[in-house]
Amino acid sequence: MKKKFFLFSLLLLLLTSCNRTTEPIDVTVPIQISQSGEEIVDVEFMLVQVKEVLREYLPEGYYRGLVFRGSCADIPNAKGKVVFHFIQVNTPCFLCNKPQILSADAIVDTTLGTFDLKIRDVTNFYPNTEKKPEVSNETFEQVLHSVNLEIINLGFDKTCKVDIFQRKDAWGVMCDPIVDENGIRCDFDIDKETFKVKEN
Amino acid sequence: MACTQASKDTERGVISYPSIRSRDVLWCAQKRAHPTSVVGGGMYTYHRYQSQQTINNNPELNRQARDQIGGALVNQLSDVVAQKAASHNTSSTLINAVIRHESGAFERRFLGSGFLADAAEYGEAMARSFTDQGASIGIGQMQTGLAKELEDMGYVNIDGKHDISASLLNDSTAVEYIAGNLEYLSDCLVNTYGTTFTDLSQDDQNRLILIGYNLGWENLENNIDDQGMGDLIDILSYDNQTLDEYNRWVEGR
Repeated sequence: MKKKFFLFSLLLLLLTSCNRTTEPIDVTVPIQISQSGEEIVDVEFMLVQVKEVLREYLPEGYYRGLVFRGSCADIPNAKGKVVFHFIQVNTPCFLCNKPQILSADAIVDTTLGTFDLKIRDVTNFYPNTEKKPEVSNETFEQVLHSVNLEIINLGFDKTCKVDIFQRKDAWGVMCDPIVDENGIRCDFDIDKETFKVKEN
Repeated sequence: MACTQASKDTERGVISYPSIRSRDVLWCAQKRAHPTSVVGGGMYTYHRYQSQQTINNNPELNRQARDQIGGALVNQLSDVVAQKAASHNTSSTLINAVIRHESGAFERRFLGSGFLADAAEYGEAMARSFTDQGASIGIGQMQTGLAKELEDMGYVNIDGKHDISASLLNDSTAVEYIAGNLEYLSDCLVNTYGTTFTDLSQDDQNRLILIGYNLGWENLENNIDDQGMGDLIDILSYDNQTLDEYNRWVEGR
């Protein structure tokens, strides 16, 4: 009877933890950084190409943010990596206790002209699923301009690296190192409307 | 300490029933099932599943359930938590935030969060001890394989010979594992990223440690390398579900 009881308990537990899983997908695809063939980084054009590839894997995937990662010296020409985040929420399967959530990160190397697409099942990792507005070329340029200016104003060591990420209410900026050898801290937010540095 | 996870087949769990609960289990099992009770039991199970799923899909109800189950445990274990936080050089707030959230997990709530949940989780751990040791059990919902690795690395110290599953299902000893894992993650972040991590605000450091509790060290490291620390805190919400919800609960107490 003890065995039956544990088998029953086990069945209940398996039912409650029942979820489908999707194997990770990694692909590398060439991408054009700008339409004109110039050096200027065109995020709108890149996003169109990324979405076209993404449609094959996540037909209902939606945009949920952008990150720029590069060296501080390369901010003005946007050389580095531009990461586009996407999410797809699948309706729960029979007896699944929550919807399946898949994330796709398209990591564009603006120097090499390629992007890596990484698709993962993040159902159990508490992903933030809120949609964000797609970023226009104008916005991207203004954000980079403001970040570059602020780093110069701070007098921060230009050999740093930087992460610029799209948040709900602002653009987050974090340098690496965060504090340079002169003790200057580079960790601030840029207002998403005015593109000015937000006061903490 | 190296921030790597031992291979998953390093341990075959010692299987024995948690002694305190085995009498309760036998009492239930000795009752013979009548056909009507089987149908009734099935309907009850289905209804319970549906109601818990409703709670799970409703943020407010989910919050209330976790406040009730996890909050009671946080109050009950406050002395143990304070002691383990001090011995593991971690914050009692982080331990409490994990307990409040994880002890009210859907899988445990469905089975009443008491001895039945423990028995079922023990059964799962027993079954999976022969495969991936990936059963997440107890008030910290920790995988038995990870618990073993933490012991091997010296982050968890339990006296004498013991059954890891039973230790994870015991509320007091589970705190040792939760605290040990938080200490391990903190050490890994400091050793791997140095000042890039330690120069973050204390709040951001805490959020990354908690996100690591959910992801595991390997996944946390991969995600930081791909996305950066700031973006990771924004795109995952385990820190909001644990830390922010715990702080809200404390303020409303």
